[in-house]
Amino acid sequence: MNNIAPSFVDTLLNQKPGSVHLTRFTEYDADRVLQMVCAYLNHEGGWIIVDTDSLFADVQGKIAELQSKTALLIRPLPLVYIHEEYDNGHPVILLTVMKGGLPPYSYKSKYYIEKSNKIIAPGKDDINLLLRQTFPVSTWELSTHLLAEWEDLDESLMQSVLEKGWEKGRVDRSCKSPEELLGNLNLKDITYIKNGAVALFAHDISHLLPQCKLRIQVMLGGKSSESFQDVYFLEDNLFALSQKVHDYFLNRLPMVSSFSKEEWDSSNQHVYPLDVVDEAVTNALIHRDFSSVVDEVLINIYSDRMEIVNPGEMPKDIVKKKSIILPHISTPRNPLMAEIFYVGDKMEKTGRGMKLIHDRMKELNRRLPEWESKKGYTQLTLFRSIRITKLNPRATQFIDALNVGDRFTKKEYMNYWHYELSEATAKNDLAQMVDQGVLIKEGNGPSTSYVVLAKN
Amino acid sequence: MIILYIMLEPRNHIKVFVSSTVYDFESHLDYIYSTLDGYGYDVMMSHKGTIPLDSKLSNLENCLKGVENCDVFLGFIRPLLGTGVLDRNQKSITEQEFDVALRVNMPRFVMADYRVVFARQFLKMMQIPIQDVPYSFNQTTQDGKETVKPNRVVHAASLEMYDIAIQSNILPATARVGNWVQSYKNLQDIALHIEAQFKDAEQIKKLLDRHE
Repeated sequence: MNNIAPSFVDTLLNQKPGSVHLTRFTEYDADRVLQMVCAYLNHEGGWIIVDTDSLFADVQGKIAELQSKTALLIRPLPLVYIHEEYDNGHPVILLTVMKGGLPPYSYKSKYYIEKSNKIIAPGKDDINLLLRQTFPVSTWELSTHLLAEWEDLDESLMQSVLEKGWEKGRVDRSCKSPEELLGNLNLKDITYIKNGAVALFAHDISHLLPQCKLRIQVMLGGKSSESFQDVYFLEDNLFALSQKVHDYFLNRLPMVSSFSKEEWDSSNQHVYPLDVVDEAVTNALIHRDFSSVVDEVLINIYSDRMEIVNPGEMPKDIVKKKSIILPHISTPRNPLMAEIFYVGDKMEKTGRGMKLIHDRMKELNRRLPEWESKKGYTQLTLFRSIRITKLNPRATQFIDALNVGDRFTKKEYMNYWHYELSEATAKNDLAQMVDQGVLIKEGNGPSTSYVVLAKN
Repeated sequence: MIILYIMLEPRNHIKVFVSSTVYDFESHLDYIYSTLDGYGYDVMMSHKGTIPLDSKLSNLENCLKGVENCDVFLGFIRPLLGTGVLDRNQKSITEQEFDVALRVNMPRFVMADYRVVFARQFLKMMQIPIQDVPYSFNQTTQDGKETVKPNRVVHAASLEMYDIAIQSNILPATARVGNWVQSYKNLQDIALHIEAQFKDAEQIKKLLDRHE
């Protein structure tokens, strides 16, 4: 049984072949990697893994090189998250490429497409096909706002976002002004200001986009309670909303203390981790459906949980049984707005938000968060309580004997016992442990194995 | 090993000059360049720095020489003239590029922003001469101050370029030749027109033969 905890890359590599869009480079070649990035942008996005054996200690340097070349040489500006990850304990470079919001994309002024893991510089027939297949993902954010003018946007906020983008290497310095940044992303067309720019940067949003609002309701007595302990109503551009919500929770979330016998020390932390709340609110603000002017993002705080509700349903097949996040490429409803948030460092780990929320809560041994989409809304529930798992005594005994990250097969589980355990019983036990989030199942058929995610 | 397959069209060595202002049009120009290049053309575009330069000439002269030395002209008439206006009393670089293309009588393709087309039709209906479209206008701010704001809706010169391109001064209309101007609203409109006109290099070569 292995003792290395599965990383995100390990999880990706163990998915069913064909279920994730993934390419692996065994050698570092910036040109080839970025050609593949361009190809992915022109398709459905995906992940690119670059082995680092040849890079020795210069992994961060190569990441910076890829980042700056992406910002400079791929047009229009794409949403690509590049960082160091681990595959079986070895460092690799992982590029998360989201489907581009303004296709088609070019690298060094040439198009690239991908077929069966091959990069193709297309001929005219494929170019024609590319043009026909690639239309903007989102229409709302690119629609012209009939009343908005450039003066309605907060220029100092836009400048600070641009400067942050320069600092992080997400925008090349040849993009000299906020006007240029918005123009390049088609969020501005001479005097026409698009909805996306207004939502992100407008001074006085209430008369321009009344749907840019958020409400926080504290109902400690539960949903049936007749009174609110607190109601906080916010209306502002998305950058300001994100900051105001952060400040609200920073100042008002109660703290809990925990004492560690090993370290003989106590620590204080918020009942809901602030980084989780920030990520959840950012997702709700950026990925929501803006087309209705009456809808708002709603945060309900109860005594035992917090619900963050945003208009718009999330894509199917990315969450299983409310808590299990399947590896997926994020397809933001508003990709250009997401890109500006990323440039401005408001979305750090693009495309991994849900998994980050999930993993962070698990790391803190909290009950796993739950996602649900229905009736045009998506609801994320963060629980305050420590996670309680309900396993039968046999499963409990087995898990107690293992460490997080240990891997085993069904046969090994059946052979563990000094008595005969039927295959059906073993299957039921394993299913229960997977369902409770204690194990994760990897592979299919004879190659199926189980990895311990958490101790009971 | 990841393999790169090159299926690019063979270079046809036909030089296409793309004339346009750049402001808020960069991503479209990037797209236009990549598509024409992908079709095998040599694309001359000042935004991409692919116009051959002579250090003894001015920027304007280099651009105009670039037009003369090209085979095909693709021009975009956009609402504003951009930064290429050297002198208010002088035509902009884009205007002069259009003039050269007309004078040389090379095959030319012209696209006009829908706002230029609409503004021209509106002025005509209201019987307002193009010359009456101002460079700037007075505006009273919310605190009662008078300011002068530049016209950032549509420039008179853009409307004049459109008029020349559609040959509105030539009557009867049946006498007009080479006056097709394709209106566009978004990148998809541009994409369809470029594909239709340029995807077949043989068609362009036939045009060149007829223009000799």
